[in-house]
Amino acid sequence: MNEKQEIVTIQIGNYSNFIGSHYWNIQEENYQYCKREQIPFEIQPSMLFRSNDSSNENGIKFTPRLLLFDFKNNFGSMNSEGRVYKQTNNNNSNNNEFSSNQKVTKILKNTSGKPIDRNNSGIDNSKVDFEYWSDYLNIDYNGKGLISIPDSLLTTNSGNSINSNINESGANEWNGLLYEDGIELLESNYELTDQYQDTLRKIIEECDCFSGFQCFIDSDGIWGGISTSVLLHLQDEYSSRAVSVFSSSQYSESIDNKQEEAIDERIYNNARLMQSLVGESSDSLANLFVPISCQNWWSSSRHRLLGSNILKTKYQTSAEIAASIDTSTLYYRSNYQDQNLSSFINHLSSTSNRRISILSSSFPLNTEKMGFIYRYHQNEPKFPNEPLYRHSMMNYLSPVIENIDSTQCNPLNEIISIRGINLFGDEQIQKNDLFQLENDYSIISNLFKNYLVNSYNNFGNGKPILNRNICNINQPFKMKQNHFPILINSNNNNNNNNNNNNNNTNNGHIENSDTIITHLQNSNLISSYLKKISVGFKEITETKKLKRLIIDKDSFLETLEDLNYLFDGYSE
Amino acid sequence: MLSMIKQAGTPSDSRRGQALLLNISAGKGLQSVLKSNLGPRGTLKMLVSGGGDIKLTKDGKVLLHEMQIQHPTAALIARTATAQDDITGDGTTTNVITIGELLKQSERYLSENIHPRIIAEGFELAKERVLKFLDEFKKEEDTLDRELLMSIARTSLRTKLTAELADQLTEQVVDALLLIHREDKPLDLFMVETMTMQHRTDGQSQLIKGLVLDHGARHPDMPKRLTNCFVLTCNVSLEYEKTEVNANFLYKDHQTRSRMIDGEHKLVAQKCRQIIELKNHVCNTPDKNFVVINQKGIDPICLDMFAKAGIFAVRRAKRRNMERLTLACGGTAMNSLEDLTPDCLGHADLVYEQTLGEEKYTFVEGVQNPFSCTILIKGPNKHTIEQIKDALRDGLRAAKNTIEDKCVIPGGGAFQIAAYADLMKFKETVTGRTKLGIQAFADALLVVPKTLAENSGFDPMDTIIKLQEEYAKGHIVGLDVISGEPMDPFNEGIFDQYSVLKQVYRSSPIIASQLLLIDEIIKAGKGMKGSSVPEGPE
Repeated sequence: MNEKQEIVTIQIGNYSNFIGSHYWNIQEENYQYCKREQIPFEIQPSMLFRSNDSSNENGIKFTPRLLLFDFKNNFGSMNSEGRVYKQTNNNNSNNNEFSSNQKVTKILKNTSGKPIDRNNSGIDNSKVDFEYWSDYLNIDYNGKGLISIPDSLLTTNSGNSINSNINESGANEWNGLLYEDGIELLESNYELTDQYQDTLRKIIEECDCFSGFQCFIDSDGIWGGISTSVLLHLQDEYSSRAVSVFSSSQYSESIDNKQEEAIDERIYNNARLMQSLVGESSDSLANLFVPISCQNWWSSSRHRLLGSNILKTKYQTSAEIAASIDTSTLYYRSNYQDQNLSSFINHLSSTSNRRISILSSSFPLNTEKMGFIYRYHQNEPKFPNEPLYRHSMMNYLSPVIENIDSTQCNPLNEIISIRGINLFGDEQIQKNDLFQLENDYSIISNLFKNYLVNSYNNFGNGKPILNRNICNINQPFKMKQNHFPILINSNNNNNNNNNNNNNNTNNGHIENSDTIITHLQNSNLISSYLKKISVGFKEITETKKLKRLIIDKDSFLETLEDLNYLFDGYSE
Repeated sequence: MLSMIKQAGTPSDSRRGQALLLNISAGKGLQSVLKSNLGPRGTLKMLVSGGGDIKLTKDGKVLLHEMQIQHPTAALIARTATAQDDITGDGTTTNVITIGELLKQSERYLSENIHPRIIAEGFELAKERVLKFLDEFKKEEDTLDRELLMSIARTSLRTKLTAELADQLTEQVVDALLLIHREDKPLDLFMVETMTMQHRTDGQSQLIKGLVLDHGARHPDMPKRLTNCFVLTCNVSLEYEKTEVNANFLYKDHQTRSRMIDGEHKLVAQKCRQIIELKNHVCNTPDKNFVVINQKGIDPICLDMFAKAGIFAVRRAKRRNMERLTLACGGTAMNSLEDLTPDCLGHADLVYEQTLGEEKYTFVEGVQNPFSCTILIKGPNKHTIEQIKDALRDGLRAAKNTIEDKCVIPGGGAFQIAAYADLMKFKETVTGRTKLGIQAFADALLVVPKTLAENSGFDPMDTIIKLQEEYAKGHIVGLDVISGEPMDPFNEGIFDQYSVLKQVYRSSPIIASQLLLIDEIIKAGKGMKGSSVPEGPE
């Protein structure tokens, strides 16, 4: 008996929508895979998707239960019904001539975006830098859940017209907007607030057994503020429901170049976001908070982030994040584990001052390279020497992780999710048998448990782990060619002295990418991030480095206190 | 600090006037875009989004909201105009074209080397005078008169929709407002809900003296149509909820597990039984029925229990509808079911559900105190619905303004003609170059009747002179957009709203004179890369 537990997804911000597009493409592929191979669903599709009324003559159509926020300009060629508008003729260059005299307004916009071309195998889509997330989205969204923020609203800020920036560079990386602007934007715009709250209510009205929200949010610019407003509403209206937040920030060149103002802005926005979502004074806006970034904000440490040294496009980086999130949330989405979103959250964050977790992930995974050697009929499995959290093949998706080798920090709670692992070598077994599947599950999770216990005992500080869960599914992470960028394990390449770089990408490396291990942990590793954020925040407010910032002494102290409170929770 | 300020062009004196010209041309540009949409005979604009969505509109506010405005000055003007809409709900286009015209008129004098400051002073004087004149010109009326309100609403709606559609909506707008109007209480437009239905042809909109909820019962066995109903509005969760703390189910086999789930569900079922008991208690004769409207969720098991008891139940009602429900049907909204008594129940004569494609609607009609009502817009396609919805909003605001102003202004450009004449008289009393500013202001006033004439296909100069001649004879005249001849706005029932005009003539001179006084545009901050401020010749 699998009770259908509906989950509503909320995507706030442009980069999160890039992640979201990949995420939904992955879901679609998961579904298609089971259909194709005629095997039972290992991932429950009805959890995330809604169906329209079956009385419709076109048959049932599935769309995600999704509430999405973005600027109107960033929707690209997606129309208000959630479909991507495919243009047939490319002869629209003449359209520009229609723009009105004196360049005050642009009346006729030409179709924006260049939708992905999947059938042309000559183009390697992972090299393309897509401007809009709708360009490569493979499914239809539900038009009602799309909340577009008119660009004209942005001009209400502080006099200078910031919207011109956004026009020029699509979704620009750094536009000088702060957390407060987002709060103000929703507060001052009644219609927008009404629209999203009503939409959300309708989405939830459809659910029979509604379990919680998973939110992908941007921490940059105004999105942090908008997220706070939205989550406040959730708390207000749907208080008992679980809320998990994956907060990400996109790749920014100015941060790689150590441009101070850009870093300051990011620190400020993140500090405010964290304070309002998981701080002491905020009740429980987010039950679980996972900060994600595709680049290091500060000094680069040994643990490079996924792909960030290879391809830095939004298309590529967001794909890596999406794949990791997809795997790491198997805990509540897999069909063979009777868990739901709230137990997932409870599992990871047992106390109220430790609600931040970090995510690391590894793909494509070569189990033998990682140190796993196991044959089905041999009883002596071989394990890697390193514990998982400091294994060189695991890539962290957090803004900064430091001193991973010197400190001994066993995570307090952890969830390891594995998909598509193949430990059996050639001895492929028929996977159609349900009993066999469950049997395999337990073999793999026992194997991993052994490995984790042993390695933690050898390396860790001896503290026992409060909660551990290993969930795995057999279904590999397989995307059709050109539907998804090629994922490359950056550490892998470094080990090979970059000789095989080209070979890896060109031939046959794709088959390896169907195994993913992700590791969600609530551990003290995050403390370096918290420390930096709180030091940075203090510095910003004391030296008044951000010019636009109007510092309210009380709220500044409160934020600082909250950040310290969080930091205390993660340092013994 | 200096590095943060980058000048838009070369810092030579020859560029002094350039910023001014830039601002004026922006004002004029925006004016020329919106000009053609003014008045009942103005043309439409089609907005096409990147995704191929089409929107047809002539509503200035909608246009300014959706258009991509690149020029910073134009954006500034657009913001003033949308602020106008936020306050009064109408007059956006008038505002934009007045600002544009003020700038255009002053350009003439500026080219003759009159200092902008002098013109700005003239504007200030003229503004005071016009506002004073507006107070003299207004006509106090009993604004609760249905006929008068009809005229007001018609004037507003006809500028946005076709006459046929507008006339039908007019009645609904006025009826809706009179319905919710109560002595000594400010009008709350939230009490008029607009619902949309994609259905049949337009011109089928209806006013429902009750409520329409945009969702229906989620159980196939529930009755679809009930008469003589008791209505229970409540905010009680009727769902089996997972416990927050780290608690787990431990079970050995399937039967134990389902038994445990049943146990968990018992509490919720208890609540349901309480409601059903109440139903059995009050519905003592078979002609009485029972409806539950819940703000929180109801899970399938509870729905099933309700369906078996013949109760119609909807879940997740809109929060605002909860207020309106209790207001309309009587009774109180229950936050807990402990002290459930028959007194808490409201009453409605008819509750029925209607399904349209994917959507379900629940109608609650025949309520005791219809202090809240719903206007149901039906249209064949999305863009028509959008158009009607925008117009309806303006119509409601127009009627509301009038009720609150307790006075009307004759429309069709009548005020502008009269104010022009008044300013001319005023000009004589002023000495010095400030006069020129007043003259410019007066000329700019005439842009409204001029544009009206132009949009109706008449020669603007001709028409204005005809109107002025007629006014000189001592009549109050407006422009008849059909014949192009002067007409009496009172006879024709064409009225403007006092608060709209007041707002227009208060805000537009301010922004215009501010723009006039700008002598340089300077880029500030390095975040402004890719700015649209045009670069001067290096």
